[in-house]
Amino acid sequence: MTRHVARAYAAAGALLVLFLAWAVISANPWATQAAKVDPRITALQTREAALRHEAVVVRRVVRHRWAVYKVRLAHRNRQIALVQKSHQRAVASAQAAATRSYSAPSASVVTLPALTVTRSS
Amino acid sequence: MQRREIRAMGTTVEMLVDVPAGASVEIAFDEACAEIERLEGRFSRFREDSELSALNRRGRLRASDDMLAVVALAVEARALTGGRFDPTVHDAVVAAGYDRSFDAVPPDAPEPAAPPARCGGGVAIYDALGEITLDPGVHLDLGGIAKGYVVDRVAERLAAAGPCLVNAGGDIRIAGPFRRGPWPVGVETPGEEVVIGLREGAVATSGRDRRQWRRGGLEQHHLIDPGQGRPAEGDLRTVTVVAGDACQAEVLAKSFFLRGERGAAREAEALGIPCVLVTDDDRVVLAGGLA
Repeated sequence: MTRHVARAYAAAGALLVLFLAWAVISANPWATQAAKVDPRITALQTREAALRHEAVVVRRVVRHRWAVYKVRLAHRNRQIALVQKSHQRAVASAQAAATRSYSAPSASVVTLPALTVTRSS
Repeated sequence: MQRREIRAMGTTVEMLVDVPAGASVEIAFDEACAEIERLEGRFSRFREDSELSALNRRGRLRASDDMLAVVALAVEARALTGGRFDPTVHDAVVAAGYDRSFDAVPPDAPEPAAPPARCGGGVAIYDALGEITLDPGVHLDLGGIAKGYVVDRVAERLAAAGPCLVNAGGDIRIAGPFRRGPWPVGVETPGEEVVIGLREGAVATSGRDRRQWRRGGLEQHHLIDPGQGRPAEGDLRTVTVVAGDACQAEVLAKSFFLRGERGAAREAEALGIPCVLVTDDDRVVLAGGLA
């Protein structure tokens, strides 16, 4: 082997070493996995998770309130029905009272001397 | 027959008890007088310290049982008479000139009466709270029906002493049987007095022949037509009605007065309410089975 050939191998070897080093440095194998994730993405993911949780809680609260409302509505409807019945009884009673209030005892014109006199005052 | 008279409610109140003289009837009379005084203190619109004046001033009041009862009767009467009887005529009566005790009302003043006032405003009674609330601008005049209420209460009280009759200026209530048949009650008419025999119930007379005055040359009286907001015009001078109690008799007498002769006679016949109508031309009409 001549010196020229030896130099060519050396140059080629140096180039190979150079490219290998370049590739290794470009691959950045010493950086951590976390550092690779964009913090805005993380924040958005956290926000999404929080919103999902919040939505679950809100749905649960709405379901609870709806159930309470339905119970109260049924109770109120029963109250209204009772009041309506009571009102109908009161109307019937008032109508009966009206009939009574327009009734009068029997009276007749007599020839006795008056004990007292009614007149406008 | 024991008798006592007192002056109250702007008129003479006469009390008769059909028992022999004795201390117990005198005590009953004294208690009846105290009751009249107590109730007049509640219902007078001329006393600043009365319960009615307080209600009219404030428009809202935690009321006594008596006030609740009378206002309830008055509101019910408004419905039953189709508005011919109305407790909210206060401002109309005042506008006509009856703004003070009748004895102090000038009989003939040159200035005209004020314009008619609105009647028929809202009156709410909250029994559970014992409260009465008037719509803004509404004021009550319980005059006639309150007098009937007083007569009814006093007769109930006196009845403990014996059969009795109470007459407050024409509002009469009978409680208990008279020993000599029916209680004979005279009805004043332009001709001969008509005497009605009653074994129970009440009689009341409403008319414009006495409580009247003039403003600007025009006759005014205290029977207000709620629809017009001024003294009623019609062909009747007085109406006397027999009813179950004095409150009802008062209401019906005013209602019949506003209906006029034909309407009143027709209604009295239809309802079987004995009544004596005196017309402007001095005719006496008996209706409602009275003969």
